[in-house]
Amino acid sequence: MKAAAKKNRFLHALYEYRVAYAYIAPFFLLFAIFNLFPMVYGFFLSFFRWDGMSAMHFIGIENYVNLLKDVLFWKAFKNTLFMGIIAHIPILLGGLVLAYILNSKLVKGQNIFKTIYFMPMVTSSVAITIIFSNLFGYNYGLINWFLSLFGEAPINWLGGDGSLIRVAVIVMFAWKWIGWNMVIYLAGMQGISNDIYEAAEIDGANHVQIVFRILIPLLKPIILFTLIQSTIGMFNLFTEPFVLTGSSWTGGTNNGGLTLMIYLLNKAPQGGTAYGYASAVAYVITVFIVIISFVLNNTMTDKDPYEGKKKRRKSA
Amino acid sequence: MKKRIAGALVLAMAASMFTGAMIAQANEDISGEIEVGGWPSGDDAFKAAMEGFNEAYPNIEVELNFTDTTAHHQALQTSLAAGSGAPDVAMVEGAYIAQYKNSPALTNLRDFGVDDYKDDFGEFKWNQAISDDGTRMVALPWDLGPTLFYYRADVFEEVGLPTAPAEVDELMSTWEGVLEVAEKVSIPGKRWFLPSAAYPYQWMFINRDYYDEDLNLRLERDGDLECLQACLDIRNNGWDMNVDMWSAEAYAAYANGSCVCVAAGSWFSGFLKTDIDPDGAGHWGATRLPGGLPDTNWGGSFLVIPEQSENKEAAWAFVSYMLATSKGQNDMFRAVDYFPAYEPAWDDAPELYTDLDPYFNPAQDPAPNAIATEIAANVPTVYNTIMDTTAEGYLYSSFNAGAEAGETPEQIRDRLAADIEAACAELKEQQIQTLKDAGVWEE
Repeated sequence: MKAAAKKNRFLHALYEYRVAYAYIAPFFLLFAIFNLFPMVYGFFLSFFRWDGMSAMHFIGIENYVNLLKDVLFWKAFKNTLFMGIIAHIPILLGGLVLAYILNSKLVKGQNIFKTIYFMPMVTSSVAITIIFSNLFGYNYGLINWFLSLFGEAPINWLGGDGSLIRVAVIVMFAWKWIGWNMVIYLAGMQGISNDIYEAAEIDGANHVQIVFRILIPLLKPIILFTLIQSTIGMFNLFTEPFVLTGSSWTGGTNNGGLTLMIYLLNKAPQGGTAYGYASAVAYVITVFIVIISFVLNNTMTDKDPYEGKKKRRKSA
Repeated sequence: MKKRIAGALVLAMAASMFTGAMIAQANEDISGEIEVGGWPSGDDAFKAAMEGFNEAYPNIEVELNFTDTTAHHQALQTSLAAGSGAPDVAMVEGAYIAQYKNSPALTNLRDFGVDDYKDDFGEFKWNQAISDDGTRMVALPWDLGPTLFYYRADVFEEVGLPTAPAEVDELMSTWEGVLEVAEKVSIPGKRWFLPSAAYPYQWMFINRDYYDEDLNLRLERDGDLECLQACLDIRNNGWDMNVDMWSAEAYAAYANGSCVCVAAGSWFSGFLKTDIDPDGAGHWGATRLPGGLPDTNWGGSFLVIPEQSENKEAAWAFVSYMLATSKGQNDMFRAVDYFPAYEPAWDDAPELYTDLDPYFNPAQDPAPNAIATEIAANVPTVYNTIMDTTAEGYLYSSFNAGAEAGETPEQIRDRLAADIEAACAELKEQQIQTLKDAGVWEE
C-alpha cells in the first residue's frame, strides 16, 4: 500500500513539474550516456579479460591482484606522484604571485597578460612538447647550449639514465598549469572586497600581513579547487612524457618518465588490447584521485578560521 | 516512324556498347558513398590514385577522413568495440595488425574472394593478416618496408669512403667494417655516425618477430652479442648522437649532414624527399643493412573493412582497386613511396623500380627501389603479437640503460629480456586468451 502511494506521489510530482524536468533532462541524459554508462561499464569490465572484440571472460579480481603486484605500476605511481608534487610548488607559488602582481594594479594590460599566461592551457600539448624537446635536446638543445657557455658538458636530459626526463616533464607541467591557476586566483582575488584591504591598511597591516592573513585565507576554497584540478591533471600526465621519450611505452630509459596514464594506455586501447586490465588500472587511479581530493578537502577546510564560529552559531 | 525509332534505338544501343568498351570495363553496378580513414600520407596516396578508381567505378563516391596515426588507431579500436562510427575502409599499421587479425568486428575478405590474389602478394605480409585459427583474413596488405641503410654519400666522399651502394655494402658487411666507417665519419661533438647506438641491435628485430608461436620471447639469435658489442663500441666512442631517430634533433642532423647514417623501411625515401631533407638532392645513398644483418622488413600498412560498414561491396571495390591492381598501387607508389606489397605492380611499371632516382647521390646505382625489390623477395615470414609495440620500445631504452650502467652484451640482453617480460606480462595473458578463443592455444 505504502509503496504504491509513494510511487503515485513520485509520478504525480513528475507530472506536476514536467516542464522543469524536461528542461533539466538533456544534461542528465547526456551525463547518463557519456559519463555514467562508461563509468559503470568500466567497473564491470575490470573483472573480465577482454580484447575488445572476442568473448569476455570473467576472472574475478585477478586484474586488481596482478595490478597491485606489478612493479611497473608502482614505478609509474611513484613517478607520477614525484613529478606532480614537485611541479605543484611552482604552480601554487607562481600562480599566486603572478595573480597578486596583476591584481595589485602595478601592471598595465592585465588582460593581455592573462591571455598570454593562459595560452599554454589551450595549446596542443604535442606542439608544446616539440618546442620543449628542442629546449631539452642533447646535442642542439638551447639549455645545453647555454650550459656550454659556462664550459659545462652537455646533459642528456631526455636520455642518460632516465632520471632527468622528469625535470623536463615537471617544467612543462608547471609551465602549463601556472597560467590556469593564475587566472583562477585572479578571479578569486577580484572577488574579495576592497573594503577588507582598506580596513587592514588603516589598521597598519603591511603587504606580507595582508597576503598571509587576508588574501590566502579568503582564497582557500579557490586554492583547493585548483589543487584538485591540477591533481587530476597530474594523474592524466601522458602526452608530455610520451612524446619526449619518442612515443615509447617504456617512458624512457629505466622507465624514468613512465606515468600512470602511459602505463594505462599501454594496456589498452593504444598500446594493446587488454581492456579489462586497463579498466582496473583506471579504477585504481580514480580511487587515488578520490583519496587525494578527500585529504585535500579535509586538511584545508579544517584550518578555516571561520569554520569554528559558523558551527557555534548554528548550534546556538 | 516506328521503324526509325527502333533503328535509332539500335544505333544508340550499339553506340553505348562501343563507348562502354572504350572506357575499359567500368563497373557501374556498384554504387554509393564510402568513407576511408587513415593517417597521412595515405590520403595523398589515395588522391593520386583516385582518378583511376573513379574511371573503374564511376558510381562510388569516396570521402577521405584522415588524422594522425595514434588517434586513428584509437578511434578505430573504440568504434569497432562500440559497433558503430568506424569508416567503411580503414588503414591499419603493421605494428598494430596483431591486434586486429582475430577481430570478428572486421569483414572476412575471403567472402569477397581475396584468396584469388594470394599469389600476387609475398607470403610474409599475406600471413600477417590471417587469423590465428587460419579461417579468416581481415586485412589486405598495402605496402612493404624493405629495410634500407641510408647514408650521406657526400660525407662519405669527403672522408674518402666509397659512395656506390655495392661498395658501401661490401665495406660494412662486418662489424669491424661498420666501426671503421663510424670512426671515419664521426667528429666528436659535431658529427655522428648514427642517431643512437641502440639501432643496429634494433635492426635485428625490426621485423617484429619478438615471440614465437608458443609466445616464448626469442631474443637470442645469430650474431646478436657481436652486434651488441659493436653498439657499445659506437656509444663508448661517442660516435652516436644518443637521441631517438625520430626526434627533432635527429631530423635536423640528417638534413645538415651531422648525422651521417640511419636505417628505415624504404618509405623513408619519401620522408627524406618531402619532410627531412627536401633540398638535399645528391646527399643520400642507400644500400642493404650493414654488419651482415639479414634482409628484413620495417613496417607497412593494411586496409580493413569493418563489419559495421553498410556498403561492403563498394568498400571492397575500393580496397581491391587500390591494393590489388598495378595501376592503383603504382599511382600511390609514385606519389608517396609506399612500396607495393602487390608484386605484379613491380613488373607492370619497371621503370619506377629500376630507373635511377635523381634525388639520390649520382653514385646511387642501382636505385634504392631496385635494392628494395631484391630485399622484399627475401623477407622471412614472422609471427606477430600484441606485445610487439611494447617490446620494441624496450630495445631502445633497455640498451641505453645497460650502456649507461656499463654492462656487457650478455647483461644487456638479460636486462632486455627481463624488462620486456615484466612490461608485457598482462598483454601476454590477453594474447593467450585471444589464442584460446581462436582455439589454437594448447596449455
